[in-house]
Order: sequence, then structure tokens, then C-alpha cells
Amino acid sequence: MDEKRTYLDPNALSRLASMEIAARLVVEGFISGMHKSPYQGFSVEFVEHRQYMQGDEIRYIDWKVYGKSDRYYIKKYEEETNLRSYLVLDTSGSMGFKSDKSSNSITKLEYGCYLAASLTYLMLKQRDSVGLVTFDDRLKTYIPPRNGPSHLHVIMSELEKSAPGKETNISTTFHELAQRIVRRGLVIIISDLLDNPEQVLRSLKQFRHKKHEVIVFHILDPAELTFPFDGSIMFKDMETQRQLSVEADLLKAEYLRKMKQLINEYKSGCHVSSIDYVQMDTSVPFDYALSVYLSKRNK
Amino acid sequence: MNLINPFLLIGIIAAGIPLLIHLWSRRQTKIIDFSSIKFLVSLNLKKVRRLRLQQILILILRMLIVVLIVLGLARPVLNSKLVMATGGRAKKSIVIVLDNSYSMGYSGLQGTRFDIAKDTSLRILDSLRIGDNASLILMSDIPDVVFKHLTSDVQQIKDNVKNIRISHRGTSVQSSMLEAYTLLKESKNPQKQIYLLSDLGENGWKDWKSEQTMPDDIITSVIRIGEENADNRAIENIILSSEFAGTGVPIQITAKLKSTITGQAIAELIIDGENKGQASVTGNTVSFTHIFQKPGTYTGEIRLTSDRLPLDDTRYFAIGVLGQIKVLSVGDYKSYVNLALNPTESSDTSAFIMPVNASTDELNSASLDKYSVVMLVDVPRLSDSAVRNLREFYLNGGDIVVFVGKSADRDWYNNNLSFLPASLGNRTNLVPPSNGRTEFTPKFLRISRWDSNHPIFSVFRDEGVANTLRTPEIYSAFSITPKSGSKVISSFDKNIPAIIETGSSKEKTGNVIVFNFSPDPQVSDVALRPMFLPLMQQTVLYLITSGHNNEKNLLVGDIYSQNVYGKVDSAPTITDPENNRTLATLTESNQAGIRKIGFDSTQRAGIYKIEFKSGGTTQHDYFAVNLNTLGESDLESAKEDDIISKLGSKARFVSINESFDKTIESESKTSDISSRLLLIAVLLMLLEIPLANRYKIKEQRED
Repeated sequence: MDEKRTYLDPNALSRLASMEIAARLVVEGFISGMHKSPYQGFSVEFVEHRQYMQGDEIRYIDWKVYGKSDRYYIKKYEEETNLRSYLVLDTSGSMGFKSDKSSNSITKLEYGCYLAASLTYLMLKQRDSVGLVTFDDRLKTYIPPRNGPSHLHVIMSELEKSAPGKETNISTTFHELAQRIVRRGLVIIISDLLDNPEQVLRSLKQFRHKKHEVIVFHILDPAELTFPFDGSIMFKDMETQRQLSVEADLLKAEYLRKMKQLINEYKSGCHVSSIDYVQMDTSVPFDYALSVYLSKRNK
Repeated sequence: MNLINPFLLIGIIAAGIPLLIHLWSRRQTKIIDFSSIKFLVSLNLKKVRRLRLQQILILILRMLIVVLIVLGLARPVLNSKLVMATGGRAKKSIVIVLDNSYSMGYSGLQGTRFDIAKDTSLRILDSLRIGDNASLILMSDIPDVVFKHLTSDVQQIKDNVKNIRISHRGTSVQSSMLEAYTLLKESKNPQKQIYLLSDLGENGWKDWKSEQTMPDDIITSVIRIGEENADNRAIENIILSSEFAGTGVPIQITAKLKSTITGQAIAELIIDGENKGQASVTGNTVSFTHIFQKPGTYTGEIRLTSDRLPLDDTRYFAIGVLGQIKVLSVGDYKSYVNLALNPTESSDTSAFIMPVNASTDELNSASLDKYSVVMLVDVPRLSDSAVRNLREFYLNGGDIVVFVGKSADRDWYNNNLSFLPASLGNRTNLVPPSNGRTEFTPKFLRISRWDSNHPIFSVFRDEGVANTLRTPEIYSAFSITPKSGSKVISSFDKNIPAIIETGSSKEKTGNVIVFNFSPDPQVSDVALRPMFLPLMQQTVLYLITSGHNNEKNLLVGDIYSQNVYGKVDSAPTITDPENNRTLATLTESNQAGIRKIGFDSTQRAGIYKIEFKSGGTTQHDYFAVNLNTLGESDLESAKEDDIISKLGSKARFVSINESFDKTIESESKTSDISSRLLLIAVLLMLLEIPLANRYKIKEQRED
């Protein structure tokens, strides 16, 4: 298990040329490490019957069962198991941040891409439909959910192309996205959420109003969580190129307090709206994210 | 506030180190790409500003710690006012400058000033604590540094104070103060103080040299002993009518007084322990006349009714009284001289001066060593053998008096009498009165100038007596050219020398005095004048006493010296007025056969006796030592402003009153606060550590 976990190390993945291979390694390593029982539950072959109840459409009655048992049973599995997932990836400028400048470290965006790739691979393996949305201050890419092996390649190539863009404008973008997604499904948001939390939470609620399940992967760099800076520092905004000179040691305590407050705000806001909120930093292995997804999938 | 190690203040520069670090770290600005500064901008900057302020406070705290450490090492000493608040006191070095000049012997209601000063000194010494040190200087006209270095053995100083006696000297404050400064210079103690205990008589400050600067780190407490400007009566001096007394010759002994006391006093004359007379004092002098019957050295004193300062009410004297003096007279007009020397023409031993007549022929073979003086009264010329005899007499210390009148052969004198102090020139003949003939108006010279300090003229010092010297008329005189080393002691009009001598510096040879006139009525009327008798007698007395170099009346501190002719068998001893016997020094003179007895320890006023053995017999002599009353007996106080200006700004007056001990104690309340500063620095360091780590602790808590 430990050996496999090394494959899952986000920094190690960055050395792989193909995102598809990276995603496969992640997912296969993850699945092989799991117990059998959850895997069985995802079989498309599995059929579930339930007794007909008043109000059920007649066309869903399994007439073969009626013939054998003289009782009305409904076949429903196809509808409920074929999940439509939307991976919503933030590609704003701030996602291009990495505190460790070494070559084998990864940015938040890269981390988000690997995470998205891994989820895509896993979902497609389960015959779920996966779509990809990228955005910065507006929607950049919209790939509608599909399943099938060819779709994996579409999403992977799109992820490989992704690069940090402009400023974040989550609320507007999500509003637009909510309008576009008609059928309900699972919306997985991968973002650093460095925007006004109130607006972000309000726009997330739109997805819930439309009956979508929502998972938020809040991706942060370890430096954003610990603020390991000292002395006089000129911070340069990666989105706007604005500069701010501060005494880092003076600012640190207040920064940490505020960051904690932000995370808590998202956590509680998501909880209220029945949104799964997962806070991750770029050093956390992907299997943690996958397990969160699976537990959601099982509900 | 003073600093003991002021040079360490340079370390204050180190206080800039935290500031430099602070500024340096500010300058090292790094540029870092950050995800979004929107979030940073939204932080609570008020709180950040508070933190910045806190950081500045920590910076100030650190600088303060460095400053406190540096100040602590520089050892600052606070003065009394500041230290009242902090308590404690620093180690102290003191020098007690105790005036023991004789004016401190003045008695008040509480005892003598000196006793009060001693008591006060003991009180000051009692105020010292462990770690303090002190020294004692007895102040008179010369400083007596009792402890050459500061000592912490206070008890030893106290014992000394109890046993010291008043001196018989005057006062000089500055020399003692300089000694005190020198002593305190060696002290490492933060507090240095001089206690000057004195009656502060003006006399002590007269020789103050203003170029001396007083050090700033020494406090001088001036304690006046006794009241200001006290009254006093003192004998300033004793004047003898003649410096040479002979047996049977009356001598006047006069005491010169100075007094600010108006009341009457009684003066007593005591000679050799016996009361010889009493007189009431009305003016500034009191005189006694006394006749000494036997030759020898007499000692005596004049004593006034005691006032509050008794030391200067008595003055001592010693006088040598000579026995019969034999004078050999040669020449036609010797009878005038003989009469002046022996006016009663006594032929027995009662005559003080016994003139003996001789003819010029008798001089050829006369044994001159029997005579003290040979007088040539207008002798025309002498035979060669007489000249030889005379020269030998002179070379052996014999004294010669020569009168040159009309008979004297000028050229012969110049060619044969080489020991004369002058060579004779042309004669000036004026017009003498002519026995009832009135057609000639007499023309003459008068003695117009004389050296009044010369012993010959000691009896002519009074104005009235002095005028008699001007009365003789001189009708004939030589122009005289003095030889080198000789001395003109009197002159006629027109600066013609009247009396000239070879000089008193001669030790072994005799002295020769030439009178540029003679008793010949054709030459002068001097023999008829009253001044002739004392002039002749003084001349003889002077000649036989000069060259003995034996001053018998000294002042305290003077050096006594006496020439001794011949062998001295044992070291001479001196018995002082308090009967202490000490050895005098005996040194060889440059001239063969003469030794010099010296004694410099004339510290007490009174009569000193000197004894030594010579030729198997014990010789003894006496001399008197007196107070130098010049100024010291005036008891006039110096002005306080003057004293402060001389002693510097660190000097202050302290009164002896009920709160004296408290004043002394409060003066000592200066404190070395270095330990307290260092303690504060440590406390601040302890405060700085949690403050400096506050961010980190906060950070961890939040994590």
C-alpha cells in the first residue's frame, strides 16, 4: 500500500508526460488498494427491482418478472446509476501559484488538473458521464458530459492544454454555468476559491437549487496555509500584477487568522447547503479526494 | 551625576546595533509572486499597525537594555537628592584637612577652636562605613600629611586625631588642599570629599595662587571653627636697643604689640626665669631697660596678660652679653676715641670696653692677639714691622678701625695697607671755624646717608636719635674709591663715602672699617657730638660680633646655624622648649677650622639650648624661636564668597549645629547605581523575551 501511495504523490505525478497515464496510475492504484465490496456496487450488470407502487410509470414494469411471479416489479437501475458529472476547474491566475520553486513541485492548477484527470478516469471506468468546465473570469471551456473511452482522451487533452489565465470571477461564472447545465448531476468544483466567499457560496447554492450534488475541492498551496514568509516582502499579484509591500512577520498572525476564518466560512457555508467541502493543499495525495468522491457516489 | 568609568560610555554606540539590524532587515525587500493580494489587502491593518508599534517598542526596549548595560558598566554616581529616592550610598573617600595653626588655640566658651575641630573630625570619621577610606592632613603653613595614603583603618585615624597637638605655625590653605587632592586622586571610590576644618583666618588664603584649578569630582565641605573676626592682642616682635649688649651697659628691650582689644594689659619681663620688671600696656609698645652684669647668653621673654589666644601673648628672646673688650688705640687723637669707648675712664675690669694706648713704635712689637680691635686714629704712617704685625693680626681675624684725617699719608696708605677696603684719593679741604675769627664762614660736609639696617646704626633707628648722625661738620675728607667687595655704609653730601668696610662675608680674616674723617678738630667736630660715643661703641661691638654668624632670635620653622671655631668633640645636642633632646647636624665649612652646627626642627616657640663639647669642656648656648605673628594673630576671617571662589563650585559651607551629623550623613547619600541599572537591564531582558516571541506563540496557538 505504501509503495502504491508513492505513485500517488502529486509531485511524482508531475514527472509523467501523459496525464492519462498519471490518472490511470492514480485510479488503478487506488482501486486495487480497496476492498472488494464497494467495487461490486458499481457493476452495470446489477439489476434492482422494487415493487410497483401507485404513481410509477407503467412502461417501467418488468413484464418478465410479472410473467413468472404474477407480481408487478419496476426496473430502475439504468436511470440511477448513470451519473452525469461536471468537473469545474478554476484556471485563474492565482491557480498558477506554487510556493516551492523546485522543478518537481506543482502549482495549484497542475494539482487541480491531475485531480480532475484522476476523477475523470475513475468515473469513466464506472460508466459515468463526465464533462469538463474550465473558467477564470468567464467560462473558458465547456465539454458536455459523455462516457466512453474516447471521451477520456478529449478531457485529458483539454486538461493538458490548461494554463493559468486571468482574474477569478467565480460568482458570474457559476451563474452562467448553472444556466447551461440542464440535467441534474454531480458538480465537482476544483478551485482555490480566492474570491468573495459570500458570493461564491451564493453561486454554489444555485447548483443546489437545481438539484445538483456539489463537491468543492478547495485547493490551496501549503504556503497559503502557513504563510512562511519573513521580513520585508513585496507580494506581486499573479492575476492583476499589482504589488503590495508588507512586513510579513507583522502580517503573519493576522493572515493566518483570516485564512482560518475563510476556510471556516466555506466549510460552514457548504455544510448548510449540503455541499461537500474538501479542503486540500497541493501536497495531499489524490486518493483522499477520490475516496471523498466515492463516498458521495455511494449515497 | 558623575561617572566613574566615563570612557565606557563609548559603548552607547552599541545601542544602535538593534536599530541597524531593524533597518537592515527592512531594506532586504524580497519580491514574491503570490496567488492573490486581494486577500492580503482585506486583512485588518489596524491590528497590523498595532503589531508594528509593538515591534518598535521591542526595538526601543532592546536599545534601552544596551544603554542600561553600558551605563551600568560606566558606574554612574547620583548626588544626594536623587539618591534619596533610591536609597543606599556609595563608597566614599575623605580627607580631613585639620587646621592646626596656632590661631586655632583661641579659646571660646566651648574650649579651644582646636579641640572643637578635633571633636568635629571624630564625628566625621564616625560617619564612615565599611569600604570607606580616609586620610588626615594637619594644615599649617606647611601641610603635614599624617597618612600618606588613604586608609580604611578609621580607628587609627581617630587615635591620631585625639593625640595631635596644635602647631606654632601660621596657615596656608592651598598647599594642604593640593595634598588632599593628590591623596584623593588615587581613590577608586565613587565619592570623594574633603572636610576643611579651620577658623578660616584671612592669613591662610593670602598666598592662594589662582592658576590652580580645583578638580570637579571632589566635594569640599568647609567647616568654620569658632566665630568670625575675633579680638586678639599679640606681641609682634621684640626689639633690642642694640643687637650687642655688654656687661654694665643698659639695654632697652621693647615689645611691639598689635591689638584689637581695647582694655589694659600688664607686660612682664622675665630674664633667665626671673621677673625683671612689669609695665602696663597702653599703646602698641612696651619697653624695659635692663643691665646685664655678666657676660654670656641670656634668655628671656616678655609676657602679656593672657587673652583668649595665649600663644602669641608671650615672646622670647636670647641675647649674647659680651665681657670686657680690649681695644688698642694708636695715633695723636686717640684720646677722643678712648673717651667715647670708656666714658667713665674706669681703669678696672668694670669697664665694658677698655682702650689701651700705644705709640706707633710700640706697634712694631706689640702682642696684638690680646686685643679685639686695633684703632689707627689719623696715623701718618707706620714702620714696616708695624705693618707686618698689623697684617698678621688682620689675617688671624683681628678687626681694625682706621680714621683718616689731615695727618694720614695718602700714598703710603694706598701702597702699604692692602687690607683697606678703599684707596684714598684727593683730599677735599673745606673751611673750619677759626677760633673767634668771624671773617671766614665755615664750610663743611655732613653725613647725609647711612644704611640704617647696618648693626653700627642699630641705635640710630629712632627718628630723634637718627638726626644726631647729621650733626657733625666735616671739614676735610678724601675722595675714596671702594675696592671690590667692600661696602659703603655711610656717605657725606655729594656721595663721598664717609664710612666703608671690607665686608662681613669674611670668615677667618678680620674686618676693617675706614672712617673718612678723624676726631681732629681741624678735620671735624665729630668728637664733640653726642653721636660719637654710641657710634664708636657700636662699631667696636659690631666688629667683635660680626662674622660669628650666630643669629639667636628665629621664627618657627627657621634653620638655626652657628659657626664653631676649633674642634668639636661630640655631636651637638639641642634641647627644645619641651625638654626634648635631639641631635643637631655638624657640617664642615669650606674654610679650614670652621664647622657649622645646624638645626631645622624649630617647630615650637620658646627657648632652645644647644650643647657640645669643645676642647674638653662643655659649651652651651641658647637661641629663641618665636611665632610668626604676621597675619596669623589677626584673627580676621576670610570672606565666604572668596573661599568658595577659590575652592571651586563643589565647595560648600557646613555649620556645626544640632543637625551637623545628619548633614554629614545626607552629604554621603550619593550612590553608585550601576548594580541597579544592570538589574533593570536584566528585568527588561526578561520582559523582552516573551514580547519578542509573542507572534510565534500566537501563531502556534492559532495553528
